[in-house]
Amino acid sequence: MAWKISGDLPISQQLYAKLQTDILSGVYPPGSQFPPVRKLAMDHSVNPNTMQKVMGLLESEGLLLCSSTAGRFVTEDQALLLKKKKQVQESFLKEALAEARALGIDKEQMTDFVLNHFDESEENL
Amino acid sequence: MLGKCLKYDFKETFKLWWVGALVSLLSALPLSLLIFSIMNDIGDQSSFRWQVFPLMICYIGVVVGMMISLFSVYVRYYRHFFGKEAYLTFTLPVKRTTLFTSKYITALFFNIASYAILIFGMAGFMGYAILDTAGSGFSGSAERESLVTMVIVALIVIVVYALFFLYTISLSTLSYFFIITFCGVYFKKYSLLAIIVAFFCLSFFGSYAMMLPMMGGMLGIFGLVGLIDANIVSMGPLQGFALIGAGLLLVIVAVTALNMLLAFLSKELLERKLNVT
Amino acid sequence: MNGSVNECLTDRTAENQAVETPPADPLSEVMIESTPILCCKDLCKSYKKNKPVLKDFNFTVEAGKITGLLGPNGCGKSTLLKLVSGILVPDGGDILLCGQKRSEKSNALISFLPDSPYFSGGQRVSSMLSYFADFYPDFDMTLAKNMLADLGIDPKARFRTLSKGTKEKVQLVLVMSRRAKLYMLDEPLGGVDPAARDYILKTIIGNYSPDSAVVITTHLISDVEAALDDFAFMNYGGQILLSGSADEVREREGKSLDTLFREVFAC
Repeated sequence: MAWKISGDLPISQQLYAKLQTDILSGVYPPGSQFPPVRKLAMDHSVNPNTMQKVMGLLESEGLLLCSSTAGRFVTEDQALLLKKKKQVQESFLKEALAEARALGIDKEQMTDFVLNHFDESEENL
Repeated sequence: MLGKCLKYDFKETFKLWWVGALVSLLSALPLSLLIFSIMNDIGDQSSFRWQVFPLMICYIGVVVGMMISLFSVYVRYYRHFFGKEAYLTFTLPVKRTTLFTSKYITALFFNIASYAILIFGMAGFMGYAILDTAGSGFSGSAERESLVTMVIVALIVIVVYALFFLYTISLSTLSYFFIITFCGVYFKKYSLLAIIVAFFCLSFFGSYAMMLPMMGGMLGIFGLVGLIDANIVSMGPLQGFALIGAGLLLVIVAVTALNMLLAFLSKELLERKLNVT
Repeated sequence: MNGSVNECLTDRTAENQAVETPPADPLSEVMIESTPILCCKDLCKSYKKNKPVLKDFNFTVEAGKITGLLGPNGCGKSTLLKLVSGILVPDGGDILLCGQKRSEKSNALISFLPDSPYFSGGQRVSSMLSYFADFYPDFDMTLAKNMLADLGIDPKARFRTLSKGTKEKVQLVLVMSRRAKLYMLDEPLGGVDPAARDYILKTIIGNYSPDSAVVITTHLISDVEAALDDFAFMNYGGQILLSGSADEVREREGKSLDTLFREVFAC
């Protein structure tokens, strides 16, 4: 897995963001079985207890559902998934905007750029 | 666990032992033939000259082979307890006493086996020598004591020799073990050097350790002579047997005490003082 | 069975909030306050007189934790592990393993990886495996063979012919294939390539069990950081300068363990 811990942010926070993105982007489709803690911890090379904590967080937000016998599942609640997705998207855009502002990019330049380049495929960018 | 320890001790010791055993066997066979032929034509200068050189080589071969096969057990002991393997040895879930006992049994077995190989190799010569002396001895003695006494004496001699042999091997094993342990525990980096020096010293002064059983042996022989030939030493059969008994007892007590002391000291060092570095 | 699952599902979707349900994963079982796996009390050790490596050293490792023992070279990390594993005799103090005073019996509970190879050169890898299987009842032969295959190590190879890194890998495989209570790994990542480092870390993590503990010493903090529960910074003379939960350091100080280490032990 290409994911790596970066910077000085708490590992659990980084993991949480990563797994949330994975769920929202459909790496783990709604209703599917979520891998067990041990496997996830091994895949990400992180401490199993940290991974456990992150799973607890995801559970408390309702993204993951837990059954006492069959492990964890991704929620099938589309409304919740959509709401979460929006939140994550917006916070990303906000960050991007803040950085753009810091670099001195104004509104016009920004909209122009989006209008001109948004439809281009990723390779051309 | 002792069984498993023995298995690996035997396996590892054998790896070095068989080389020495083979060398001593291969040298002992021609050596016995050479001695045989020299004894046959004593005085024949021309043949003696070409016999001496191979005789020397064979003799050296026997000595070196015996050294290797006898010391293979100490090499194993050192490597397993003080070499880099020690990290593994002392983290095994095995009592140190068990480890030591296993080494002791292995050493006894392989030392006896070394001598057995040597005796087997020299059998031709030995057989000749025994037949020769036995023949001359019996033909010369006209008056025969009762057969029963002869058999008893022979049995006693065999038992005493076997005991003495076992004692020698056990004591040398334990003293070498003790030396290795002591040097390994206290000299650390220079332990190998210290062990070599101590081994030399032991071969010089080691004979003192033999004093007690020697005395016992002498008592026994004194008694034997008294039994066989009343002309040399005059005593009744009761006194003779008593002397032999006392001699044997002294040997056994000395053997046990010395061996146990050495084993105990080595074990204590291994258990309490050993810091593997 | 099915009913309870459905109940759980509907319950969650309705409330969208965490409800304390008994989780399926064994990892999340509530830890009952139990005796620590390892407890060192006022441990003392010196190689030379008046130059103690460890002085009144206290250290505890709880079950279910991966602890990193971090410190500069020669601060007594290896000495501590050797004392616990029994190849060194302490000058004073107590070592308790699962509540019991250390003895030869405790060796069965400990799986120790020393910092130097301990097999003789002529041995084959396969014979080392059977050696371990003979002496340790908790040794898992199939696991060991699988790990060797994963690392591409030929079981028929003689120890002498292996490279330094491969030797370390073999010994790590042996140590990690046991079902011990306490794993003590002295520099498990020191001499191996980055790819093998990842594999070793994954092995340590995959081997995690709530009733065993792992102690790792290393200089490669950034490599192991994410795998740790707790850490302890050890200074010369065997003092513990700083200890705690590894991830909390990031939360509290806003810096990684590696950065913190560099600051604490700055020369």
